[in-house]
This record gives sequence, structure tokens and C-alpha cells, in this order.
Amino acid sequence: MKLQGIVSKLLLLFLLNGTSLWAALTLFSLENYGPMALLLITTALIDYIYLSKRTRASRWLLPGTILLIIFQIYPVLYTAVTAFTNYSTGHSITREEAIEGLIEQNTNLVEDGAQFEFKVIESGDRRALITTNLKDGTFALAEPDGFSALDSAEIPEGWQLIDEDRLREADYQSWLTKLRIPFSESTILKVESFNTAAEYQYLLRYDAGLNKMIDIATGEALVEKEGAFYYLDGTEMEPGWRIWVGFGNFTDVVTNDRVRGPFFRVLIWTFAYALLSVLTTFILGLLLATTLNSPRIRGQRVLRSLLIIPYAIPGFLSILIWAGLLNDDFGMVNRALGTSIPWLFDAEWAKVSTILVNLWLGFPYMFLVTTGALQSIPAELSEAAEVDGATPRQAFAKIKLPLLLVTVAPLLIGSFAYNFNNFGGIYLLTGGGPAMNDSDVAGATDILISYTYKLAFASGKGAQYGLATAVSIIIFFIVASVSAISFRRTRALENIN
Amino acid sequence: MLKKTRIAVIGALATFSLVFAALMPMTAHAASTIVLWAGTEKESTYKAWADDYSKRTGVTVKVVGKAKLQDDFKTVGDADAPDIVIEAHDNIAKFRADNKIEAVTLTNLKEFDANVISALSLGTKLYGVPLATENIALFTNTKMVPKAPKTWAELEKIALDLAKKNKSNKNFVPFAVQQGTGGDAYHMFPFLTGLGGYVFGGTPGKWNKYDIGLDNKKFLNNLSLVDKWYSSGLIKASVNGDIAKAAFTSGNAPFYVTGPWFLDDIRKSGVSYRISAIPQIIKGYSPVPYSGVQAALLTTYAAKHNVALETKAALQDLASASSQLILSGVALKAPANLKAQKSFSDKDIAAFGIAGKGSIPMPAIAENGIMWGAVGSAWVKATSGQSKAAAAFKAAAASMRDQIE
Repeated sequence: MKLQGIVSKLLLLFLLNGTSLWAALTLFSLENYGPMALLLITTALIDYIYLSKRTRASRWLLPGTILLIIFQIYPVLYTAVTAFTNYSTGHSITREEAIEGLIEQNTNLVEDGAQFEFKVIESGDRRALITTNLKDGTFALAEPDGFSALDSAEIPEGWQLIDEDRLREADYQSWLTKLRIPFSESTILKVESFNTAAEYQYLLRYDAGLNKMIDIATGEALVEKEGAFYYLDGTEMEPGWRIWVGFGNFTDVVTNDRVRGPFFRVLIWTFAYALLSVLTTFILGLLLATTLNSPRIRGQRVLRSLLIIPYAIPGFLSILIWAGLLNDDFGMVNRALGTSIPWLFDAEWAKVSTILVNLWLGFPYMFLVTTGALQSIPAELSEAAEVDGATPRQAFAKIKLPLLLVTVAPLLIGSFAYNFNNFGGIYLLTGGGPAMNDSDVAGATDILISYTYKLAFASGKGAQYGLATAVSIIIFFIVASVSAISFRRTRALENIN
Repeated sequence: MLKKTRIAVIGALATFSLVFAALMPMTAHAASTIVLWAGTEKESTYKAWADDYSKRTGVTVKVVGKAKLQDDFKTVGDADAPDIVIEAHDNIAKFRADNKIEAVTLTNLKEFDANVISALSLGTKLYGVPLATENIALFTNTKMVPKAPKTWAELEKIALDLAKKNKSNKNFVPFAVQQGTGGDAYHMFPFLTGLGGYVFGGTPGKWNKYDIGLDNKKFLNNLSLVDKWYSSGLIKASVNGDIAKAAFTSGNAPFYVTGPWFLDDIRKSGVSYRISAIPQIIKGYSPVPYSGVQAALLTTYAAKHNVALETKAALQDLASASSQLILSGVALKAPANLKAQKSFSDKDIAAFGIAGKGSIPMPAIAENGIMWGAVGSAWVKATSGQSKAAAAFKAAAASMRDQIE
């Protein structure tokens, strides 16, 4: 190996090692030991593969494999795992975090309670506050386990004052923030700023032995169900936490009326949308391709180039422009036609609009591939058909089309799968609307993928990641099985040759 | 020989790696820096305050503009998370449900209007520092409408007469209020209140989610007016945000319902305008808009970053009159601090304040999320000819009840 090569390889490796060492140290300080170990092992593996002579073949595979794991396998696994949880707004954290959060959110200021000013003092490992009770003017030395009265606010012997600049250090700030000093039997002192504190009261207490949340005032043990605590009267305490729900999200799709109704309506429309999109674009593309394939047409090249323009403009731009053109009262389409068709406001017309706009966006692709396919069909075949006395129509239907389908069919399946998940085509044009009565989430033109997106991010009640990931897994199985079946069918076509 | 070289190579690699790692900063979230997230369009406003604050106190506040603040805040990891988030008050319930924000205490609570405080309260606790208030109002093109209409009926007549005169002008909009296909329950709210409807019963901070007023009898009766507005062409769902704004700023609309966020654009357009409340439509009901309170929220991450107390100090500073004047000066919004309000002089913002009298804070309850979709699409159906207004609102009420249970 040349010296240059070795040096640049070493340079790259040392950059990589340095970065991952730094990242590992950061992870260590955040107590994320699992990811840290994974990172170090991966780095060591990379070093080994690029330094050893025995692993030449792996060098080529490694970058691709790592990218595959990060960008494909990890998201897929994450989605699959999330689908079996109740991850959603109000259920986004762990049980421990939720318990801590609940106690903290329900620690309330005591009305007319004591207010304190304080100084922080230190003696060796011991830290304490000298508090001035603003209500009765008394002084006290407040240590984490309790108060002891003082005569004045002067610093007792052996203690040292910590000034405010030092209090800003992370160590002191975190100590002060977490400090809870028992004040009376049921109340505590909680720090509010660098020099003030107030009397607070816990509403809830967690009993680790019983594994239950207890209302301190009434002694009532809260009921735990579906990842949240409930009072007996049904009041839900927020935040709740993430739990495993097994196949709950999947069975919801089939059994829960509020999910099932819109789901099947959306599913049927998704199939219709994908099929119609493929059919209309294919038919128009084929028509134009056959027409332009005829030698009698002049200016073939110019016409072909012109037809590709819609394909060359970024799709989202065209869609946004179409959304404006199709406006009821101000759009060009209605003005040019002299009509007042509710293109985007009526449920059925909106469906027509999505297909039409998709036709505009999709036909150039079909035109391109069918043109290519048509030109690859030997001219002798058509000539032979002509000699045998076939009409041009017969020649097209019996000779050209079957041959065409052999090459184009896999592309049609691909186009179906693409349109099945054509998020932009729907979301940018109609936003899934107009709204329907059976659901606040799924509109009339929503396809499964836009419905999933809305479930995850845009639904009124907040995010429903669990349900959304379950639906996206269902989408995967639908697309996968449709594609598998179709590919098997197209094999039959290949026998024509 | 070969073996020695290899050892040397590996040794050099290890040394350089260690040196490189040592040179990098230890944690992503440096201590003593407060991170503040605001919408991209507000970034410069809060930077102005942050610069001033760091000059006065030496504490660095890093302002990060976020185009999709809510989505990012939902999914952010601990290390990158903000300590302060700037959002409208109606998000606090949602954020608290995920334990993302904490309550705050203010020493100058008396410098704020009670309504503003209750808008930001959940139970007895205050979840955020009120910064600025905003509401929508009626802009009138004074060249087209020299004399202000006193009643809605007068306004309607003026608008429709002008529409008749401008029949050949395809871009003319007699009454510009934005909806579009997705609907806009926020901009249409004055018409809901003006016709005797309400979304939730109760009062700010104590909303009753079981009392839905979208199909109360008086409102349903008055909704026949909306059908008339649609058929006469006065109010149409096809007018979306872009069309409404373009129509008013190009002198193609006599009336325009919008908020102070477009004030700058309207001033630049050169159209002469007047800002006022929407005139009364039906006796006994005033068409009041929603009010929104921009607030600085304390996140639970501040404690995790060990900067909770510094963040609280910064929030207390944001509550002060002087800091709110800095924000209002940059962003042209009415400061929430009453002392600041007194010394903030902008006649248009003052007019917005008067027009917003009696406005209702957007309910800060999770169920309000359902309202946007349900009420927005009811207005769209009613003003795009898809359904009679009364039927659309009956359906919206039923859908909301069904989802709230």
C-alpha cells in the first residue's frame, strides 16, 4: 500500500476514534451505559476491520451495512416495537418518570404558608441553609433532614458562606433544586430562587412497598390502569406512562368503532386511489406514446420533450399550484370552464381532483416507459401481423400490448405501491379533507399513509404514536402482499416470449 | 520490522484519538447556558432580549428558532432539550400531560391582568410567564368605506353593494376572513360568539368539557344568517389566508379580519385602514374574538440540565415591564405586563386592545384540540354550500360529545 493511502486511512480512523471516544465519554456522563458499550464495540470493530489484513472483503461491506442498520433496520424495529405500546400524548414517559412527575406537579404552595429568604452555607461535606422566615421573622439552620432554630442570621462557627456566583455551578444548583426540607408535619420547604424558598405541601405520595400512589389527605390509594393513575371517581392523573398493550392497537383497528369505521373507509379509498392513479396515468401515457410513435407525426422530439415537463417540475410545487388553481371561486380552472364546481370542498369532487392532479403528475412517467418499451418491440412483428391481415387495432391489442406488458407490468406494480403511499399527492392538495362526520382525524380523501401521519402528529387529541405505527405496519403487509401476488402473476406474462 | 511499524501505527492512532477526544467539549449542553426555543419567526425578538439579559447578568441565553416547535418538543432528547419554550397558552395542558413543563411562581403577579393569569393556569398553578396578548380585529379600507358601519347589517349592505359595483373584478372579496379547505375556527370565532354560540361552558381556567354550546337553540336559530351570508357571497370558505391577505393589501377587499401579525405587511401595502371590533350582529351577543397569550414556559429539562434556578431567574426577568417592552418593540404586540402596556405606545396595537375587549382566552384544555377540527369544518361546510349551517354545527357538537364521552 502506498504511504499516502496509509496516512489518509489513519487520519480518517483517528477522526472516527476521537469522535466516538468523545461521544462515549458524554454518554458515560449521562449514564447511558448501553449505547456507550455499543458505540465502543462498533468503533473497535471498525478499527479491526480496516487495520487487519484478513478482513479485506468486509471493508467494502462495512459502510453500507452500518448505514443500513442505522437508517433502515433501526427505524423498522423501533416502529414495530412502538406498535405494541400505548405511546401517545399523556403516555410518553416511563412509569418511574411519571411517578416522579406526578408527585412534583402535585406539590402545591401552601396558601398563606411561610416564605423564606436564605443563604447557603457549607462545612466539609455538609450543606445547609440559613433561613429567615419572612412571616414571623425567625431564623433557622435548615439541613436536608430538618430545621433547628437560630438566634440570628449570622453564619455559625465552622460554616462557610457560598456566594451567588458559586451557587450557579451545576452542583449547587441541582442540590438546591432537589432540596425538600421537612418544615411541619405535612409541609416542606422548597427552593424557588437563589435566595428565596416557600412552604409547599405534597398532595400525593408513592408507596414503594404497596407499589401504589396514595392521596395524602384522604389516604385513598389510586387505581392503576392502562398506564395511568385514577381516583375512584374516575379522575385521571396526568402524566401517565407507556405500557405494553400487546396486539391492542391492532385489535382496535378491527373492533373499536371509532377507529374501525374510518379505517375501512380509508382503506377502500386508498386502493381506489392507487388503482385509479395507475390506470389513468398508464392509459394516457400509453395513448400518447403510441400516437407519438407513429412516423406520420411531425416534431416528435419537441412534443416528447414538452410532455415530460410536468415530470420535471418538483411534484410538491405542482401540487401546491394545483391546489390554488382548483379553488372554488378564485381558481383558474373554474374561471376558464365558467363553472363553479366545488373541486376541493365536496367529498366526491375532492376525490376526482386528487386523481386528476395525480394524472397530471404521473402520465409523463408512463409515457416515458411505454415509449421505451414500444420502441424495443421489433417492427417485423407488426409487419408480419399486417401481412397476415390483422387490422391495426388487432395488431395493437394482440401483439403490441401483451409484449408491452411484459416489460411494463413490474413498473405498474411499483407505481401502485408508490401511489398507495403517495403522501404528498393527498396531503398537499386537500390535506385529507373535506372533513367527514365519522372521524375527527380521517377526511374524505385521506389515504392510509396520510391518516397515519395525522394520527401520529396532527390529531386533535394529541399524538397517538402507538396506533399510528400499528396502522403503518398494516400498510406494509398490504403493500407487500399486493406486490408479491402481482409479481407472481406477471411471471405468467413472460411466457409470451 | 513489519510488526514494529504496526505497533507504532496503532500507538499513534490511539494517541491522536485521545488528544482529539480531549479537545472536544465534554457535554452538548454546557452548564450555565439557558436554551430557549421559539418559533422561527420570533427568533429575532427573543434574541434582542437575550442579548440584553446577558449584558445585565452575564448569563447566556441561547435562542433557537424552530419551524416545527411542537413536533420537535414532543420528540427531543434530554441533552438537546430547551429550558424555556415560547408557545401560546392553549398548549400548556398538552405539555403538562407529557410532564414537559413545570409550574412557575412570579413575584410581580399583580402586574398582570387576572384573565391573562387564568388563561395560563391549570388548577391553582401558573404554567408560564405571560409575555404578550393578541387577538384578531376588523380592518376596514377607509378609502372604500369612508364612514364606519355601526351595525353588522350596515356593514353587510356596504360590502354587498361594493361587490355589485366590482362585479367584473374577479379578485374582489366583499368580506375577507380566512378559512380555506382546512377551516379556521380561530378566525371565525367572533361569528360563533356573535351569534350566541360557545364551545365550552364555564370560565377561563374552569372550562366544563361536558357543556358543549355548539348546538344551543338560540345559536342554531341564528345560524340561518350564515346560510344567507354564503348565498349572498359575503363569507365563503374558498377565501384562504393567502387570498384574504392579498385581497385586502391590494385594495380588493373593504373588510379584513386578521391579527397584529400582519400589521407590518398591511402598513407596507399603503392601504389606508382603520382597526375596530366587529360590529354587533345580534342584540345581546357581542362578537368577541379569542385571545391568545404568548407565554414563556419552564420545561422539566431545566432541572435535568442543572439550570433550573437560573432559568427561573430568567423567566422572572421576562415578566418584568422593561423586558416586555424590549419584546413588544421588536414584535409589535401588546405586552402582557400592565406597566409595560401603559408605556407601550402604538396606536394600532392600542386599537387591537380595544377591539379585543371581552375576548375569550383559547381554552387550555386537551379537549380543545378536538374543537379546531370539528368547528373549523362546520364553518367550511356551512360557507361552501356543502350543508346548512345549523346541520353542520349539530354534527360538530355531536362529534365533539362523542369524542369527549
